[in-house]
Amino acid sequence: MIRMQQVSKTFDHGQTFAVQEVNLEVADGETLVLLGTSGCGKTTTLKMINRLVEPSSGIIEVDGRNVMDCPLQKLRRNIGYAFQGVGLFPHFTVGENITIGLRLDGRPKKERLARAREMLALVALEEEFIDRYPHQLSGGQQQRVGVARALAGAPKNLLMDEPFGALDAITRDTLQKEYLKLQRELNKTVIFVTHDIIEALTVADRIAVMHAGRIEQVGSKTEILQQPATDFVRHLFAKPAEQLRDYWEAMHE
Amino acid sequence: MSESALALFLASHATELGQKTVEHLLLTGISTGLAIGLGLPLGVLVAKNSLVRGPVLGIVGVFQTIPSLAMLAFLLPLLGIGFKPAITALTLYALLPIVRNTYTGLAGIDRDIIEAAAGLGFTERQKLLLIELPLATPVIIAGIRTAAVIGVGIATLSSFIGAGGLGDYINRGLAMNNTQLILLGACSAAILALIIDFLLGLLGRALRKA
Repeated sequence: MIRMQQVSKTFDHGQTFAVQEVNLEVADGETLVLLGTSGCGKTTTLKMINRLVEPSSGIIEVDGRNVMDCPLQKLRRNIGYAFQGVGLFPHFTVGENITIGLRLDGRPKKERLARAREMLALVALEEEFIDRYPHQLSGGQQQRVGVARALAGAPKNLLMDEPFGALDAITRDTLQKEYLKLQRELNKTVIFVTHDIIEALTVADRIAVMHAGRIEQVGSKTEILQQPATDFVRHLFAKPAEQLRDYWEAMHE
Repeated sequence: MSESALALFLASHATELGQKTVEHLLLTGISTGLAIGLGLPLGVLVAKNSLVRGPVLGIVGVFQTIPSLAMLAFLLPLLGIGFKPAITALTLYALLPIVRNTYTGLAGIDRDIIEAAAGLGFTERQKLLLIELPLATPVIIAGIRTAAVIGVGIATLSSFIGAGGLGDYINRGLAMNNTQLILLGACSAAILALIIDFLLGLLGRALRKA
């Protein structure tokens, strides 16, 4: 479980807030999507959980423990993290990339190899990828390896920051569907950041809409769609419909 | 000079040439080694700590701007003549390319890679040893190559303060107005520089594959 209480972040000693008084609770096995336009503070919110960004105030708990009391390396080793940039290590093979966390923990080579194979199967990559280098993979394959690496340490919690953001629409769709399948199997506690409304509706159990550093509304998909709490939420979700209408009209001109 | 005369000239200097080349290699090798030992940690420090970056790069940059003969002259009253002041001067010259390239190599690593390492729970030390230094290695090796090649050139001047090396031929040739001796020293140093550059290039390629 992940809990945030009155969490704020300022980068300029309180003049402006990137994130302001955020309260969130993500239940075990739930996928909560943080949805918002760019610059709304969703990534900063996410990064405060594994302390890639230090919160200015408020309390963040992961599985009942205040993250500020956890040794930094241990905290991060126990939270999977996948992001749009992927950040695969170019001088390591796919297998070495996936199991780097286990290597840091001093796990034996045999165990790491077995784990790498298991993870590749999990993200639907063939076993022969194990000895390839990141630059030999397509964008979608790289992102799969990134997710495999985030999951290799068997963390209970997972942070995903627009993991499919850099992919083409078709690959993204495939990966979203596979993510859903995977999540049904693994039951991780996930916070998933995206600006893509359709993606949010696809992967979310619940959605938290963020705007200008604050949470506008948290709720199930139906709640947010049927009872938008603010004008911002209403407009945000009206957008895809508007775009579809334009698209439809263009097709029938 | 005919071919046989050249062969005779070289043969008569063969033993001495070998000895001077060894001296020259020692001067360059020891100073470049010291500069690596000093410059690599300095480069890492400069990359990690933006406060000392300006001053450190500035100071090692200033060494580079002092004309080599003047540097040797400066060191004379401090360290006397011979091997020691020559090694000191050569080390100071070799510092800049090594420090700067270490810094450049580390600073040029893709931010996403650094973020991934942080997110996976690397300690600073693990990040440096497993990710940053290996990825910066080609740039660092390029710096070492530059340092070594400059070193071979400047080491010819250390003959002026009695440190030996191939510069002795140039010195002697100048004193005796003997072009053959000057060329013997100059060409040997040039060939040495090319060989060292080539070998370090091979090393760099081998390390990249490893």
